[in-house]
Amino acid sequence: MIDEQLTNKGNPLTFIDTVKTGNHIVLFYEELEYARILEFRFLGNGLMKGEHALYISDSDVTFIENEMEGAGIDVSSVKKNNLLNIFSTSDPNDVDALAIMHRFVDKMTVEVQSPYRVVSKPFRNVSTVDGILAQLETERYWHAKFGTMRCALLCSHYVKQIEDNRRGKWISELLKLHHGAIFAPDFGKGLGYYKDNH
Amino acid sequence: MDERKIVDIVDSVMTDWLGRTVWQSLKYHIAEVHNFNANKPNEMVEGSESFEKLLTELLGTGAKLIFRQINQKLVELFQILDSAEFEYSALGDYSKLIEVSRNSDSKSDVKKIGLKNNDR
Repeated sequence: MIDEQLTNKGNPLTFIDTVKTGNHIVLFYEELEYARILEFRFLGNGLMKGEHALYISDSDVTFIENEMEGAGIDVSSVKKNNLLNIFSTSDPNDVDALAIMHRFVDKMTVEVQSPYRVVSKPFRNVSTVDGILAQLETERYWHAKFGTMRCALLCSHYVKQIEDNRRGKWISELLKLHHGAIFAPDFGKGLGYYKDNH
Repeated sequence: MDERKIVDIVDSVMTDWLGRTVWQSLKYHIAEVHNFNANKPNEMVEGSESFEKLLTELLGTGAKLIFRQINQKLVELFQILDSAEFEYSALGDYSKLIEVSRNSDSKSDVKKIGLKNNDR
């Protein structure tokens, strides 16, 4: 009984519904399908409130749109209202995820000025030491800037992709650069939480 | 008391909450930083204060949830072993607990080392 109560309290699916503007959250996942459920629910919660959404990954845009539809997001409607932007870093025209993010944030700040949500896969190849160090620098930049943004940002990491010789250190560093975290190892398991002072 | 049983419980709970890859990575990272061997149960238990400190710092409120569940499991384990009913604050008390369980199985001795009564 108490086990069940504890599990519900930290359940990633329950937690994701509490994430709002001003939260910078890191997601560590081992099952891509589970990660997508959490990512789309996070964006869907914002879209329902009229917030803008940006999704950056290395997957094909049409594929992501179909997956979002399957998750209950009315993609054609939100696209028609210019609320949803999806970018693929596998698209030769949009390979620089960081530049995409900068453009989007500038647009939201200058033109739209309404709250927005971003889901982003790592900007760098985090399977190398140089890549993860560059990613940490980027995270540091965004985290420091966060107070000036009307944004909720979910940084989504496939755990096994993170450089493995010092993976524990990199995870520790990433945790320090976010307001909270979600660990999503498998369906029905995991933990979502905010740090004490946030 | 066999340290292996405690380490198995900690491993099992941590894996459920964080996932195997994350927990194993953090475990070896913490052990390396604090200079003990994560493959040796006695060193893991003796290093439990380091785990408590770093995991609390990293996981904040999340650590409290995890520690509470570990505590529950250990309470169950010790009840099975006919030990006292207790709840201790976090991982840092494991080594004391083992010490007491080796020397005595009485409830009063467990209380003497500052372990809190189970208030569930």
